[in-house]
Amino acid sequence: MLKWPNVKRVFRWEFLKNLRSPLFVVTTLMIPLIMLLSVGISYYAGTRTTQAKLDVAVIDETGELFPYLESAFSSTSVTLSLSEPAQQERLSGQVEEGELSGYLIFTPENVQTGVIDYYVLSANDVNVGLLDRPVKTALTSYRLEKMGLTVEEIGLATAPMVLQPRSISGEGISIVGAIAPFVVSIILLIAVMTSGQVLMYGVLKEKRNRIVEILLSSVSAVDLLLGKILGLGLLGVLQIGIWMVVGLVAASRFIDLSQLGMTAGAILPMLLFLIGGYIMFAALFAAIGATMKSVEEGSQAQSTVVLIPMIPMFASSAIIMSPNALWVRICSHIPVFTPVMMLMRLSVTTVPAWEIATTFAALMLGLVFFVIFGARIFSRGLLQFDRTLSFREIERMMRKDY
Amino acid sequence: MDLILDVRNLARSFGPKKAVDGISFGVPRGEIMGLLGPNGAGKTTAIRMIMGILVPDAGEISFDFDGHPQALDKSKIGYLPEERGLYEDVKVCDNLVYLASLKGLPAEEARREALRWLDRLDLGEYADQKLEKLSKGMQQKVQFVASVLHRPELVLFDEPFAGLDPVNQDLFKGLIRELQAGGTTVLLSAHQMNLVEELCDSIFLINHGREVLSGKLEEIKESYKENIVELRYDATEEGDFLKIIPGLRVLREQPGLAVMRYSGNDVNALLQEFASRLTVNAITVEKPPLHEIFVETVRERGEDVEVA
Repeated sequence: MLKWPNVKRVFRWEFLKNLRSPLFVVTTLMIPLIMLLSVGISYYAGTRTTQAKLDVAVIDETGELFPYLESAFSSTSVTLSLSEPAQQERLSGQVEEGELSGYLIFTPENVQTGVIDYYVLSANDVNVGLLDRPVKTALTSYRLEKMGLTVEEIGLATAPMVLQPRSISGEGISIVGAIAPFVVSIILLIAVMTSGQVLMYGVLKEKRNRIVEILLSSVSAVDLLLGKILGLGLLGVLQIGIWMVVGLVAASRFIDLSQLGMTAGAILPMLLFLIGGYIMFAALFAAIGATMKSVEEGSQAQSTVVLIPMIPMFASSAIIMSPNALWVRICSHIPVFTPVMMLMRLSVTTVPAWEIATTFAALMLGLVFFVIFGARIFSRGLLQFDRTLSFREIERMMRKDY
Repeated sequence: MDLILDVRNLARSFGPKKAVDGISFGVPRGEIMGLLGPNGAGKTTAIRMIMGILVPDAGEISFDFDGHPQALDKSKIGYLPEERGLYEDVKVCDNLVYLASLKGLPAEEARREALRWLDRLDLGEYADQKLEKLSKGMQQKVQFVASVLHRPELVLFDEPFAGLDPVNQDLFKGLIRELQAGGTTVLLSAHQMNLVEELCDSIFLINHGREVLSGKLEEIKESYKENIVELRYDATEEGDFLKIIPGLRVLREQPGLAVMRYSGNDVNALLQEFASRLTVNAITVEKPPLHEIFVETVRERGEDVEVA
């Protein structure tokens, strides 16, 4: 029988103890810091590349191409200068001296093949991003004009093209809006798995330093298990909260957050699958922790169990491409796969309400199973101090009242 | 008899091995009772079942804290397990307050009691230090405090003297006696019988999960038929006649000293015999130590002594 005052005491202790632990402080602060840093670096690198000024010489052996190039490069930060073929050696010298960024050579042959040589000092000076598009534009215009098209016709032929996805109701769909919920659900999932593993290693540590028998002399194994699951769960929520706030603040610098388009109606089922999944896996992980003697000696098989919830991640691209395929719908009803698969599906498609209900029911069945048998293994494995249990023993523990 | 704990036909197996095989005993209120036997005899399994950590295969355990038989109430029992441990990366005082709070003691009161106990054991200055900073001996004292901080009515000590140096052994003995004087009932298990027999009012000896002997310590010793006799006499005299006295077996002999085992009934006649044949300097007659009584009793039953 559950004793809530005991669950509450264990919950409070686990929450506060782990909140102050160096691991929590470091991971909670470091991950947003890394996020901000990487966003900052890519932003800085992006602006630097587009703002770079280049002096590029052109050897035009066709004698016709240079005006096209000048026109294509007119609105860029690249300054072009025309040189004679005989001056190639002098140009190399200027590149070496740093007076030139590099030089391009156009011959009648390479204009046809489209493979243009660009001479620079080292790989760091390539800056293909700045040259690629204007050179392509110039070559296309040149070739088309050679085919006899007029300037207007060339303008029509090379008009820009954009693929604009729209939902059947006619609204525009933004890629950000489609991908963001998926990314968010993956982040949540990782946080949940991390909390579960913190729980597992916490149990293992209590077993190793022998305090667990003292705890069991005051509270039941189920009180202890539940208090731990809830305490670390809340800690996980706090951690996710911090990450999300930092993540959203960083993201708002680049994207319009209103495009995320996550309504309460869409979030609620995701939250239910997330919480259900957390409790189920936490019970499983705690039970596994209780059967191990030490982190090093946990058998390969036991470490593999920790990976089970992650399996759907390996099929994530297939699931996103066809989120309502029959195999995806069947696998969504296997409790250990349900949380991850449903989070992915809910973030990229509309899952019928009846299917949300049946998959959630499957998850609840799994949850009850894992909590009951997890608690049984947990309470029995905890007192086996000096060894890692075999699967045979675990199976025996699940059957008999210990 | 006024029993605070009553155990009836308790049994528990692990696979084919019967760890506890139908034992029954009662712990009288206010007494110190010893659950004694060699390593692997089933003591820890029995204590874990009493504490509700293991479920028995058979048998009944009932408690009586307020005049009515009742089921287990963990908040009224203190427990010092054989496998010791606390949170090493947590402050000493926080460790104690948390464990006491799990027994239902309010945090403030727990803190006050913890500091009082720590001062009492000369550990006051370590209250705010992490446990890992303390020596092993100090940690064992903290562990002891954790088991009694909430003022339990019944305390179970499983091998309380294991790993203690002689100074701390004496300290713990003194503390256990104090608890008893304060009205707490104590059930302690130990394999070093000689170390604890002086503490116990009554004992329950166990081997292979079964009872060997039980009852008041004095009565068990009195009812044991043999005595150990140590005789000191004038070293110039011959003591060969000692070997032919019926019921007397010489265990150790040197000029002027003989240690013997006497299984006869008439100790007075024996003493007179000594006095008439030797110049006796000193003589002691006492019951053998508990350990010997245990080993002899087990042997008489044709069993071997369990060694884990």
